[in-house]
Amino acid sequence: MKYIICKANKAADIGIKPLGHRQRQDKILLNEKELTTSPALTGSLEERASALGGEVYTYESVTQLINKEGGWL
Amino acid sequence: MQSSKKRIRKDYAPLIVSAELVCTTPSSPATQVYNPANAQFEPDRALSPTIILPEIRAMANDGSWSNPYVNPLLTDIKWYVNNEEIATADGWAGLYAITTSGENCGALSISRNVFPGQLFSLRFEASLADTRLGVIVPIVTDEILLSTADKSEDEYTLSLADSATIKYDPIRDLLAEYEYKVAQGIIEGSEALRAAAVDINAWEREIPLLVTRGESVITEGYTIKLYRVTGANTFVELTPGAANEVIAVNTSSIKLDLRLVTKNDYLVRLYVPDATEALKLMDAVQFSVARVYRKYTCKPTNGTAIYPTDLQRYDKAMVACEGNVVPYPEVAFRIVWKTDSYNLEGKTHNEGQTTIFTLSDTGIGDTWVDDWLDVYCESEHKAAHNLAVDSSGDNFVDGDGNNYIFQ
Repeated sequence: MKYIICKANKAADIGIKPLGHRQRQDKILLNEKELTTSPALTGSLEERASALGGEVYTYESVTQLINKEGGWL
Repeated sequence: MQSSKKRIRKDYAPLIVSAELVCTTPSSPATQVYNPANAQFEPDRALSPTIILPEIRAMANDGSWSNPYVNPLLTDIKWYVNNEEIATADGWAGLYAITTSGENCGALSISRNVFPGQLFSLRFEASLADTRLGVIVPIVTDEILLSTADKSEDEYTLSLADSATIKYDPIRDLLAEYEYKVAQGIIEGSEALRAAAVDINAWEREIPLLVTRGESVITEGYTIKLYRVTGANTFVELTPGAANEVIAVNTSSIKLDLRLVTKNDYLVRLYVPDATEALKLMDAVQFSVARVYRKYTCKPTNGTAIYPTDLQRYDKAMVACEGNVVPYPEVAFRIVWKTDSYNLEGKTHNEGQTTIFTLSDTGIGDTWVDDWLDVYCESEHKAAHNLAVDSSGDNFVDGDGNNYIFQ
């Protein structure tokens, strides 16, 4: 499964609520299902992530990133 | 003068409360998926927590309770996992968070991943103060289960890369013919010639197996077992080295000696170890093996006359099957030579494709009445071989450990 770190306000614009998501400053962590099942987005997973100002990560890379950055609540 | 006071209260209808647990994160549901191929959860709750929200609604029949959504009013909030308070339950420390105020008051955020085979039952309890009546209404929800589906469990499949009905025709067995020719000194044996003789008709039949997990073909991490079906619901496990037709059973194929089979049904089972290392049956396939007995003709070929000075007579049988001469019929047929004469009927001479018999043994005479001989052969398909075993049931083997078989 892939994970996406994107802008929290853009995620909110398509109906993704902050509750239940890890956040750091203005970023939010989503899993791929939330983007692929969103009717507000089109295209591949990468295109959908890009529309939210985000990037796609694997499980290993996102785990490494949030552990390194810290502050993810 | 003041009268006694009479207190009159507003008469409120009691609260009707409904409580329901709802998972508000459909992308991180109560039932996870675990992918053993990469040892990851989908999704991993450490990254995508699961939120279980107790939706508490309250109303009064007289309309005196204005706000049905009462989560912000909840107090004494407790979550129970498997009937134990989550704050003290084993393995939950730091892996959950409870929202204690606001419109999502009572929501449980779960960061714990649940392994396949584990099951957690969650229940929510709280109190709601009914300020109209001055009572505390207890709130208890039904339970919601946290579980995990193993992505691999339903995806193992076993199939045979061969026919489900295997027919063994000894006449077409080039491997048996090769071994006969080497044994008879007709040709020199070699690995190359032997390998060239092993084809789909050979007695040494390797049945390839195909095991998949999802879309991937796998070649390890599982066990194959072979059984012979002996009845409607009964079967016997067959292992190589025992007194049976099994040459080898491994993860990619089964090898049988078809010479030992007349007609058998077999069951192949695929086992995978579970979390406790116990073997779990995942899939099974059946196949059958049957010996083929084709129509044939067998007749002596020597049509020459017997000369008065002849002492012995030679003959050779020609066996034909479906219009083709069988080059080495002794491989598949038992041919017994016999003669009839005026003086002696049914004289048996020898077994084999050829015969040389002494004329004086046949009862042939010297006069017009008795100087004739009928030469013929009695033939039949050779039956399935048997393993040579001693009285204790142990196999007789050669110096290389190969089982002796006989007809």
